Amino acid sequence: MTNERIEEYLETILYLTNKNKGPAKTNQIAEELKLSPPSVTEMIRKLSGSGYIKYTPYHGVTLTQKGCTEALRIKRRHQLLETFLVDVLDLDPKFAHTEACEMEHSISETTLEKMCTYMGHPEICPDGNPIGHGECCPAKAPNASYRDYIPLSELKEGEQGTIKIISLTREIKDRLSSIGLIPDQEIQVKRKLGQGTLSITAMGTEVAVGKNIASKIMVQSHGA
Amino acid sequence: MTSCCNNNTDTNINSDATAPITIALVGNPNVGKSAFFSRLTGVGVEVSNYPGTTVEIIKGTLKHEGESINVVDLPGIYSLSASTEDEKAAMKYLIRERPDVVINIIDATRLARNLNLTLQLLEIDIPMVVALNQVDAAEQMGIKIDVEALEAELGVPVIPTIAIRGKGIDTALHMAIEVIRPLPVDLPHCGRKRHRCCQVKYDDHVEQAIEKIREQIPDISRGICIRALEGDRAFIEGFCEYPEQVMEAASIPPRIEETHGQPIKDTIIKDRYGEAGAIEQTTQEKRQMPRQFIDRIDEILTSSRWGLPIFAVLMLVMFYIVFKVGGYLETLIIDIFQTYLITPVSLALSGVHPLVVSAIIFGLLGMEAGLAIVIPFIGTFYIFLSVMEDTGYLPRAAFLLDRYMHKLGLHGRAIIPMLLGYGCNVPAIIAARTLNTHRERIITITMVALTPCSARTVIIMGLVGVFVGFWAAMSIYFIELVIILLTGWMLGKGLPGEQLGFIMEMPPLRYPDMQVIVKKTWFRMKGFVYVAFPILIVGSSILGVVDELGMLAVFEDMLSPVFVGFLGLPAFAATAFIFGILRKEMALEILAVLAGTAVFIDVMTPLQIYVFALVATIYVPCAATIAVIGKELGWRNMVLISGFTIVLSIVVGGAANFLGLALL
Repeated sequence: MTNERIEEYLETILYLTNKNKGPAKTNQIAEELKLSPPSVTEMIRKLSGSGYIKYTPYHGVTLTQKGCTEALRIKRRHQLLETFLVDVLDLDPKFAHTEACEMEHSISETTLEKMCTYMGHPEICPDGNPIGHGECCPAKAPNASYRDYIPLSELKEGEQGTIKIISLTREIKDRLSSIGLIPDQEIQVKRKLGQGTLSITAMGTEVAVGKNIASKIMVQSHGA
Repeated sequence: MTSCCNNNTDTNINSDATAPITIALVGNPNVGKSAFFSRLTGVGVEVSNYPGTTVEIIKGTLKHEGESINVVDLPGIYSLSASTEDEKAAMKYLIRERPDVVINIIDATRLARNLNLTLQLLEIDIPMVVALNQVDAAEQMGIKIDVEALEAELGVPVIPTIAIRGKGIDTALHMAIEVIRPLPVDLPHCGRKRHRCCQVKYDDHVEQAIEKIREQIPDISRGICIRALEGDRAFIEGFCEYPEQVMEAASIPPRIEETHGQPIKDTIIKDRYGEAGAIEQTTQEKRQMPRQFIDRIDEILTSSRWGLPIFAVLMLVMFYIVFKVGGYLETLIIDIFQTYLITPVSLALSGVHPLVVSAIIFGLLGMEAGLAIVIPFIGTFYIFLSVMEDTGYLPRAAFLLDRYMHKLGLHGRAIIPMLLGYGCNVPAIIAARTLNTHRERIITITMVALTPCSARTVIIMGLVGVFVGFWAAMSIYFIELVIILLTGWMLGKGLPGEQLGFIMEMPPLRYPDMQVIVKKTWFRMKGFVYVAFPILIVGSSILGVVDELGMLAVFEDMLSPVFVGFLGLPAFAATAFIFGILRKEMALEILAVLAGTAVFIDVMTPLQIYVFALVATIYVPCAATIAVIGKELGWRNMVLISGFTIVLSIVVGGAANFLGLALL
């Protein structure tokens, strides 16, 4: 069994156990991977043997600590690649997803870390899910929790908030910080057009930002 | 630089006592820097592109107490970390040219944000005075700033100014010279000192990192350490003799990043803003002001419902007025030129060698063409542009249209040059300068070069509109709009390059100041006159000589397969096109001369007229536009864009010809 196959399985099992909030069923795995149930059962036995997963008949599959670590590592690779393809190379998100599925198995840790650093250690994937923490990323501030934050693009006209995380390239981050948009800065949405372009006031200055950028700035909303 | 990285400013003044003092104006965009500059220098301004950039560095000179002083107006920048072309150019200038003293112009209505740059400038230790500008506007907004307290906080002289009305400018100039004068003078607080009493106190970990660097490289200044910790390699390379060593010493901060959960750069920026905010709090009082009438207008201008309709109406009114006023003035100028210059000169030249006559007369025609475009169309346009800019409407238009511009791979800002292109391509191309990246500029300028300007409107309306029909004329506009959008879309897909996204400061909406607008308009027209005129005149002279030598006929023969065979036009049309390069509507005038009549329908079929107009309005832009493209994008892009439009015009013209023959 190739590494790529193991990685695909682990990724799928992670996805399913999260979705089920419980063990993943064999037939679910087969469906996700578009394989026949017997070949999945076969693979599950092997994975179980290598200590990646725990299989309980009639109940399903769960990841072991080892398997979970591995699965999260692959997921992070996938998300970083997807983020890179969408944000830096401006590829179509759907295409980027398929592409990332292929690339995630072959990219080296070194390249990935460079990529992550280049993008300023992004924390949100284009699909809106948080990206796991890597060794190259600076430690996160205590108590930071994504669930409390929403993209700036979702604030309404007149609403206030505090900028928390900016998941954009260093270059754009620099540009934002030079006009006063930095983490922990209080902001208020001054204008918002139906199609998403908005302007915010921060430090007594009004700044207009496009929708693409606003959706990558996470804020803690304080309401109107 | 005598020692590594020690930005030793004293050497600047004393080393050469006879050299004139250089003052650099530094500040955020939209703080009234240009007004400050023009008040300071008056006339005698030289506009130059700083090497390697298309960004203008404007220089001027003035006399102060018998001393001659150079003043340099750097492009508006938000910070010293160079992320836009403007910032790069400003940084390069500060590092390489080392002005003796900086006047940092800050906007009193946005103190904290402006102080960020001030604090950065203080760190790199250039002698400096602060001009607190727009104090009147701040007062209207209920903001009161304690100047003395601000001086005490910053440790440099602070002079309240109203640049637009020239208030405080002289004091600022005087202070700037006092600051660097070797004699000790009584200046408020520690303004005299170059080593400031005020410096941003960073987080302990950052301070430790600074100490660490200084342990390794003893004579390094604090400001350099901070720039190095921020990872500003370009700055370090410009300032230090051993940049590698410095960057190496600064690359040890992982522990700081761990404790703070963010890159050290972010910690530094945050602390600096924190300091700026704290200074604002101690020096500024703000009263809540009741909503003004202008706030209400502002709201309507960008509302989802009224924003776009208002924009459309404003643009239409503007085009109409420019077309009317420009057209009227153009005829007037050409009449005057013909009657009082060209006719007398050609009479006076009788008997002189025909080559010389051609060179002179064509040169004059070129000048006439220039004047007839510059003054009526560009001048009128610039007045509108200046009004829209001065009031702050342009950023609002960009805001409204941002979403649509994304479809072309551009951002809201690009709308400004594209609209101006319908009046005249030249100021439109110049306006593309406000775009962030080279990529956006190339796309926008190519689109502008294809836009039917008012001169091309003369051909479309005067030829097709009169002899074929109004709707036929409209169809040319439509075809060209499609071409423009397609070109933009394809370039947007195909051109590589950075995309910075739409981030733009929105200055407060304000009432226009006529005096400022007239000045701005004049200043801009001067810029154009100096650049495009010499090229126009020399180019026309050469064309005259070529014509006189009979080379145009050879040329017509050479091109006849394309023009007669493919486009189905009369052979003399080729010559008309050549003259159209000088000034687009001249293609029409020359066509009349060559055809021997102005009733074109007698000598050309409606299809020929249509194809002629189509090709004439698409093929290479006029000489002035070509010159300005060259100036903005370099000759390579100039040739590429011109070549592209020639090919495009022949393809489109040929298609129209064959389609027309098949259908009619």
